[in-house]
Amino acid sequence: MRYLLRRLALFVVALLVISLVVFLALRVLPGDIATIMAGLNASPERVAALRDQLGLDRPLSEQYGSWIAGLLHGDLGTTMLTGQSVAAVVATRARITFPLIILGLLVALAIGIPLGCAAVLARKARTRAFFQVLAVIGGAVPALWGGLLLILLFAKGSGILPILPATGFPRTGWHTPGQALLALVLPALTVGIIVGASIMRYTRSALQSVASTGTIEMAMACGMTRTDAVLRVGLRLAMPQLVSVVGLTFAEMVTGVMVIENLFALPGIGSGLVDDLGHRDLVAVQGELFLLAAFFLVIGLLVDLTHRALDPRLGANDD
Amino acid sequence: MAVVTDRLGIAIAGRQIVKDVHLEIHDGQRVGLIGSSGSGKSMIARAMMGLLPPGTDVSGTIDLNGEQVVGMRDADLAALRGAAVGMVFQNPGISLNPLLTVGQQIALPLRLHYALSREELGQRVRAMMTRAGLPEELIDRRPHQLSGGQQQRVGIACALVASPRLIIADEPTTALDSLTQRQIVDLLVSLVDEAGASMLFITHDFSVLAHATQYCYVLDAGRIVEHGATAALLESPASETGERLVMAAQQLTLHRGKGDDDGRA
Repeated sequence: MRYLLRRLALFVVALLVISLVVFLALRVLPGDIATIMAGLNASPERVAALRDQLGLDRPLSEQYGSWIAGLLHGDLGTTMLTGQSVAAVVATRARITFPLIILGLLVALAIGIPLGCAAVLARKARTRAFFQVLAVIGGAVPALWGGLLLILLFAKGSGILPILPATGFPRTGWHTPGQALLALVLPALTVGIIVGASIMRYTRSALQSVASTGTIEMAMACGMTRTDAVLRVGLRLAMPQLVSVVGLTFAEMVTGVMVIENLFALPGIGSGLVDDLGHRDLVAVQGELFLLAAFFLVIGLLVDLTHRALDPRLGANDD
Repeated sequence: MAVVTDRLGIAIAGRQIVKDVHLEIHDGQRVGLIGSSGSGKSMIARAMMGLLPPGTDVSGTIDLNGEQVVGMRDADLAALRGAAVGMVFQNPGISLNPLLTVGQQIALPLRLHYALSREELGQRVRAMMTRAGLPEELIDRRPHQLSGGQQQRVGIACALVASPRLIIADEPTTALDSLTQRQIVDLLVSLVDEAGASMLFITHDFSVLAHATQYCYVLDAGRIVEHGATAALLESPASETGERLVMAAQQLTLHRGKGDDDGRA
């Protein structure tokens, strides 16, 4: 309990520091922020109006205070492009990105964990070498190339086995869940194969480090087969390490799938952030960066708490 | 349980670790296997248990009460491990499962080999803890909450709880202080004798061996160089390796005079 409170307090402090960094980062940029946002050809009246609208002539502390107050009420500001609330725009994009990364991660886990276990269980040196090469190849494939390859293989209209839509997300969104899901299959497979190779390497290395401690031998000496000992004891012991890797991979994927979102024309968070930067919509960028950082912190907190719940030895050291 | 290894050879990645080993353990006998570090002692123990790492080449035979261990399927070996042959490891701090409580740890061989009710399981575990000198209040503790001696007692309890007929103790006292070493050897010997089981005791320390075994084999660079009654071998070793190991044991004053209760040895 003490640990939880300490960790939550740390989370709040980190969140405040991040809000300050995000806020200041966009204000210490060279040049006048209102001029940047209005564009170089904007009239001085337009720049002045924008400065007034954003409250840029107020002291920094006041600007920060009102931004934080807005955040506490779920108000991240209004985008300059469409006039929509930033929170609503991010929520719309998240409905594409999060299903994509969750599906991608499920594919990655379904590929990476069994192959990682198989690599450790392989009795022949040649089989072990094969798994090693597989992991290296999987990790070395650029996302763009992997996606294009899948499009060539499976995309409707161009693929050898044209069974899946290649680009776009239905306008109806998740109101037509079948279509929405189909639109995410190829991108999720692309993400899953690449991330799966990395999960495979982590699984193999975590299991090997557990196996070298003698716990696997002990479980076998009690009456387990080698396969049982690796899968039932080894995997459980490696779980804290794997949870950390999967958690951080999940967090990184939010922006990491940007290339995939662009390739498959999916208006997700990563590609949206790049668009907003391109349009110099700094209010939106500020809100999005803060949300992304907060998301990383939440995942970090969850990983820490799960790690602790999975390994009773940590409790003895921390309390 | 009687065990006979004949022309046993073990090679890893083409390198011969154990060569042409003939070793016999008779029913109810406590046999020692002594040799310096890297001589291949633990490899022989692991070969008997079917615990050698993948990619290890084993030649020759290991006869466990009429069953041929070399070449046996892992599932058949698993049926023997824990039930017919128990093993005590060198460092329980790293071999015990850190996530299991003492009770769960000791219950594991019983769970894997027998369909016991919860009550029966609890009774057997508690009885084994008492025999191993573990207070009942430790039943819910995890390995990191125990001392080195207590951890090794848990290791011994795990090895003996399913009443195997052969115990293989692979340097079970190496990771312990000298006082605890003596207690652990005493415990192991008394439990093995009480159960009427056989034991292969592996060590590099003759003074411990003298106390724990009746007969012993001396291993050097993977070959048996000498064997005989432990007391006689300790008195007048015939091989250079044997002589070196005996001298080393005599220099360990902490053990001097303690290895003389050969009424059992």
